[in-house]
Amino acid sequence: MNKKIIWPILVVLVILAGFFVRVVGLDKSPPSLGFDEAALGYNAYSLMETGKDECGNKLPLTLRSFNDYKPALYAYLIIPFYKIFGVSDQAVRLPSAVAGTVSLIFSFLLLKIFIKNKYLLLGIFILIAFQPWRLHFSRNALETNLSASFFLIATWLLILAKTRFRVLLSVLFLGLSAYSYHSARLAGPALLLLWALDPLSWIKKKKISLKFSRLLYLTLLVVICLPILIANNSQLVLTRFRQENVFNKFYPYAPKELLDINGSMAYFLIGRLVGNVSAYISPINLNNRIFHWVRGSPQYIPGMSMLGWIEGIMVLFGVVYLIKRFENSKPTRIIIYWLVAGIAPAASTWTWFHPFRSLNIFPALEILSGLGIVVSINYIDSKIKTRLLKYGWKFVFSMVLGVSLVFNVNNELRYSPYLNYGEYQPGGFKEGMPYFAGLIKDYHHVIIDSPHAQNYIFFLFYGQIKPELVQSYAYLRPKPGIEGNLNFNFNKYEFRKVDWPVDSKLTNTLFWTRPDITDEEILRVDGAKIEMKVSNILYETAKIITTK
Amino acid sequence: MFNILAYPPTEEQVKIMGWVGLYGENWLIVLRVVATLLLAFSLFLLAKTIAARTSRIVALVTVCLLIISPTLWVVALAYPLTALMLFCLSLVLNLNYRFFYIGVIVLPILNVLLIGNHPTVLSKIGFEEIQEKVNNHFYAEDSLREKIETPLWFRRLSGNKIFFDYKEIVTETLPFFDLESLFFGEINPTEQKSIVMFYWTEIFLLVLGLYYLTKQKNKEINHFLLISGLIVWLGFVFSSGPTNLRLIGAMWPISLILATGLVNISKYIAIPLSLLIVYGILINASNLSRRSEYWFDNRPLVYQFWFENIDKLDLSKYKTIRVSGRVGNGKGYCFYYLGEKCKKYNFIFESFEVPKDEIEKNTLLAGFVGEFAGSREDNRFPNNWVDKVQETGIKILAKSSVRDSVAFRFGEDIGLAEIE
Repeated sequence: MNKKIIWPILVVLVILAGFFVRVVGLDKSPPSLGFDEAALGYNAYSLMETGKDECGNKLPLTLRSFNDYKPALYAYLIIPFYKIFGVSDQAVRLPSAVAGTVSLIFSFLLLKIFIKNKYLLLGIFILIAFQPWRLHFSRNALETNLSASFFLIATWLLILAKTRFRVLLSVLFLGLSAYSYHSARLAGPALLLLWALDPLSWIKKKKISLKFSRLLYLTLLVVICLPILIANNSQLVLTRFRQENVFNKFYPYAPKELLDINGSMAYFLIGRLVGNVSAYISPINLNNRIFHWVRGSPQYIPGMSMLGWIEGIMVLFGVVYLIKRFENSKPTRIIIYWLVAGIAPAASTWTWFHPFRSLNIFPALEILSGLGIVVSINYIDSKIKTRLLKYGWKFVFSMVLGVSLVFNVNNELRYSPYLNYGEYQPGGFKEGMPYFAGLIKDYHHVIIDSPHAQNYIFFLFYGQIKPELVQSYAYLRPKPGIEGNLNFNFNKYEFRKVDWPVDSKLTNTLFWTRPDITDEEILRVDGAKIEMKVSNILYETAKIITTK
Repeated sequence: MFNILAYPPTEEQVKIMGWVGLYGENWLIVLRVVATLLLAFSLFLLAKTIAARTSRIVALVTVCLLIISPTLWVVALAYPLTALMLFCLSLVLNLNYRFFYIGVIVLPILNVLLIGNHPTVLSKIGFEEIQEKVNNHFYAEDSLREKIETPLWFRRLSGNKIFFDYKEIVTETLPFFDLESLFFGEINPTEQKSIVMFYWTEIFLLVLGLYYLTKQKNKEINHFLLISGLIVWLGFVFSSGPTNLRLIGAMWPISLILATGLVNISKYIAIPLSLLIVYGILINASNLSRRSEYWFDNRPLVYQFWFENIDKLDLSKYKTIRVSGRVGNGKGYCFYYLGEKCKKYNFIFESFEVPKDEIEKNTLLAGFVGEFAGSREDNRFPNNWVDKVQETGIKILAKSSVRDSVAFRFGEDIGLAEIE
C-alpha cells in the first residue's frame, strides 16, 4: 500500500480507538452521574422541554443550578443527544466525549507543527490519545473539558494565524471556551493579549514593539463575552471567585509569629502565587501527587494524577525545549503564552494544583511532554553507537509506554468505578429512582432521605420530574448566594431525614430512605411495605418504603 | 525562646556517638564542627569543579547560594552523615569523568550502608507483595455489579506482577521531581513540613539559568549537570527518610543552574532579585528561630524531656525503667543524657500500652499519653487525661507536649509516670 495512505489511516485509527474508549460504557464508568453532571442533565432536559432552566430562566447563558452559576453551553449541547438517545447518563456525557475526541484531532495537528519525524509523531500521538486525564475528563460531563477543547482549537488557529480569517475564527473559539467554563473568561483574553503583544519576541529584538491593530481582536473577544459579563447574575458569579480566591483564604498569609516583620505578608502571598503557578509544571503534581481537594471530587483519577508517570517527567525536558527555542519560533512562544494564560485563573485561587480550573493547559503540557520525549530520544540516540542497542532501547521504551497506556485504559474503564464511586453520589438514584418515580402518582406525600449531597437533583433527573412543575416552585429555592445543602421541598416532595418511629405514622406516603432502617422496624408497622431495596454498584444503599 | 544551637542531638548524632563510644554535650559540639568542616570541604570541591568548567564567578555564586540554604545549616547542626555523603558527592564530581560512574554505583551503596537508610524501593522489588496487589486489583474490579467487560488478555497486559512492580518502583522515584520540596518549603501545600532548601524567590533563577545554559551550549557543564543529576537521582531512589534530606544532593546541580542565571542576567534584574533573596534569608532565619518547634524534628525534644526528668529522680527505687521506643533509638539517648546510669539501672526501651500490657509495680514509665491511657485511632485525647490516668493508679510525675504528632494514635502529650 502507498505509504502516503498508510499514515492518515493510522492516524484515523488512533482517533477512532480514542473515540471508542471515550464512549464505551459511559453509563457504567463512572458508575453514576455526580451532582454537577445531574444538574447539567436536568437543566438540559428542562431547556429541551420548556426552553427554560430548572429555575424558570428563559434561554439562560448561565444556569443558577446550585447557586454556582454554571455556564449553560454544555447543557445546550446535551439536547441533540437527548433527541437521539433519550434522557440518559450516556447522553449527558456524550458532549464531553465528543469534545475530547475533537480535541484529539487538533492535538495531532499541533504536534505536527513541532514534530517532523513521522514515526515519533505517530508514537507521541498515540501516547497523548490515552493519557489518564484525557480519558477521565472525556468520560465525565464536565464543562471544563468542553472549554479546554475549544481553547485548544483556538490556540491551534492562533499558531497558524497567517490570515485575518483564522484569527477571527480563533477569537470565536475562545469565545465558545468562555461560554463553556469560568476560567476561560480570564484565560482567553489573556492568551489573546499575550499573542497580540508577543512580549517574548522583545528579548531577541531588544526593543519593545507593539502591534496595536492586534488588540482589536482582544476587543472583539471582550464584546463576544459581554453578554456573560452584563448578565444580571454576573455579581453572583463573582461571589464564587470571592470565596475561592487566594487573597481571602490565606489572609494574613504569613505565620502569626512573623507578622511584625515588615513585608512578611507580601513575601508569603507572592510566594504562594508563584507556587500556584509553578505547581502546574512540577512533574510530581502532574503524574503522581493527589491533593485532598482533588481526591474528594470527580476530578480524581485513582492511582495517578493527570499524566502518565514518564510523561509527567518529560514535561521538564519539554520546558527546556521551549526555553531553548522560544526566541526564534513563534509557535513555541504561543505555547508559552498558552501555559501562562491557562494557569493564571487557577493560580489566583486558593488551591495549589487544581486540574478543573486549569484544564485548558493540559493539551499544552502534553505537547511539552511529547517534545520532551523527542528531545530525550534524540539525545540518547546520539550517544549510542551500536545499531542493535539503538533499536533495542527504543523498543523497550515503547513497550513500557504502550503497556502503561493499556493500564490507563483499564484503570479508567474498570478500576476507577470501584475506587471513586463515592465521588459520584452512590445513593442508588440511578438504579432505584425510575421505579420510585413510577410509584409517585399513587401517594399524597413523598419523602426522600439520602445523605448524598444535593440529592434533590438526582430525584429530578432520574425521576424525570416535569420541568414545569419544578420551575413553578422556583420561588421556594434557597436564595442566590446561599451555598451548601440546596435541597428544597415542593409540591408533595420533601427532602429530609426520616425518623422512622415518628414518620411511620404518616399514611399514604412514599419513602426513599437509608438502608439502616431494618426490615423488622418497617414490617412492624401496619400497612408499611418494602417496595425495593436499592443497591448501587457495590452495596445496598437505599430502601423504597410505602405506607397505606 | 528556643535556641537553635541548644537543639538536642538527633538520632543520627546519637548513633555516631554510640559507634565511637563517646557521649555528651562536648562531643555533640565536636560532631557539629566536623559536619560543618565536611560541608565546607564539599563546597570548596564543588566550587573547584565548577570553576574548571565555567568561570570562577559562577562557582562562587553557586557556593553562596548553597551557603544561604537553611537545609545546609540544619545538616551541619544535626546530620553529620548527610554532610559526609555530600562531601563524597563533591569528591566524586571533582574526579575525572570516568570516575563519575563510580559515584553512580558507590554513593547509593554508601547511602544504604553508612546512613542505614533502608530504601523503600528495595521493598517494592519482591514479587510476593505485588502478587497480592494484583489479586486485590482484579478482585476490586470484579466485585462491581455493573462493569465494562474487556477481554481478559487486555486486562492481563497491564494487570500482572511485572507491570505492577514497575509501577511501584517508578512511583517510588517520582518524588525526586518535586518542585514544592525544592523551592516552596516555606509554603509547602502538602502539609509535610521540611526545612527550606531554596527560597521561592530563587525559582526565577531556575528559568533564567536554563535559558542561559541552553544558549551557552557549554558541553562540559551540560555533561556535569547530567551526570550529577543521575548520581543524585540514584542517591534519592536508594534512600528513605525526610524528603529534604533525600533530595539534598539535587541542590548541587540546581545551584549551578541558579548561579548561571544570576551571573548572566542584567544587573537591573540581578540586584533587585538578590535583594529579594536576602529578604528571604532574613524572613526564614526569623521563621526558624521563632518557630523552631515547627520546623525541626521533634523526636529529639521528646527524648530530651524524658531523660532530663529521669535524671532528676532517684532511680534506685525503681525495679524497671521503661522508656518508649515509639520514636527511635531510646538506648542511644539514654547514654547521651544519663551516661553510666543506663548500665546501672534496669532500662527497657520498648513501646508499651498500660491498659493492654501487664506492667509490674515499681516501674518508671516514659511515654506518650496514648501509652498511658490507651491509643486512639483519631489521635485525640481529653485535656484531663492526667486525672483519668491517675485514677487507674499511675502517678504522673511530669508532662509536656510536642507538636505535629510524632507518634500518631498516641497523642501529642508526653509524660513521665510511676506505678508504685
